[in-house]
Amino acid sequence: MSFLPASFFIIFGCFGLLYGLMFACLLLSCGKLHRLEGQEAWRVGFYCILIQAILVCLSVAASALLIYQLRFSGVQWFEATSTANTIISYASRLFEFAGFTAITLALARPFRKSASTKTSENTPSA
Amino acid sequence: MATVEPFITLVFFALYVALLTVCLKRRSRGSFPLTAVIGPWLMVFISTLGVAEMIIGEQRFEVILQTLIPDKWAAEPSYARSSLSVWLNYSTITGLINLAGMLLFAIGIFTLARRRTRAAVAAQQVLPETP
Repeated sequence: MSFLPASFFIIFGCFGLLYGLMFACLLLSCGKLHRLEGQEAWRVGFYCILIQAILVCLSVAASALLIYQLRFSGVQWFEATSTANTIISYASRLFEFAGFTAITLALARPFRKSASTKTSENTPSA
Repeated sequence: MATVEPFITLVFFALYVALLTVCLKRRSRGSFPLTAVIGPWLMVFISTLGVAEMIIGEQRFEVILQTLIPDKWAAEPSYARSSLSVWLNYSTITGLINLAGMLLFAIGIFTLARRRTRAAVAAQQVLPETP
């Protein structure tokens, strides 16, 4: 791995540590809360975050490959790797959005429930 | 792809605002971890900067940040990608702060899940004793 500069390891180490802790906490808590509350939104959040974690790992690998190709010019797959990295980044953000939306909906469930109860109470019976 | 970026910024801003609203509501109602509220605050702050930059344009915040960084830390062109100062830019710093916010939120949710598990275990222990 001598082709990678030291700064790459420091910055990606920081990001990796933060991402790793975040994914671990979110996955564990989504799994636990799904078991306890039985809400499907927690399960959706769990799978979205899991896919995002896999995509982030792929993105880091693609970035390392890009730096490798920058250092050793003449590698013919640079354009393809760059495009793949862009697509992976966008897909990762899409799953991040889906995961956080599911978690938000799961957290908002008590309020939605109480609102629907109020609506049904206010509706006059036939 | 550059045309999609403003749309993504706005969508994420809306999501983080919704998340913060829900977290604040839950915090005001009962015991909800403080870290799960601080995290979304940081995320909303960073995405607000993103929206503001999108409106103002011209990468104003990047320019402001570069004036704040001391000269001895400034990136030299000869050390491209090998010096740590290359990473002292707006997108890396805001990315780290946003990620820190997400981590705080995740820790908060983890604390919530642990509390719930404890409560469930305690309830299971109490139930068999009641006649």
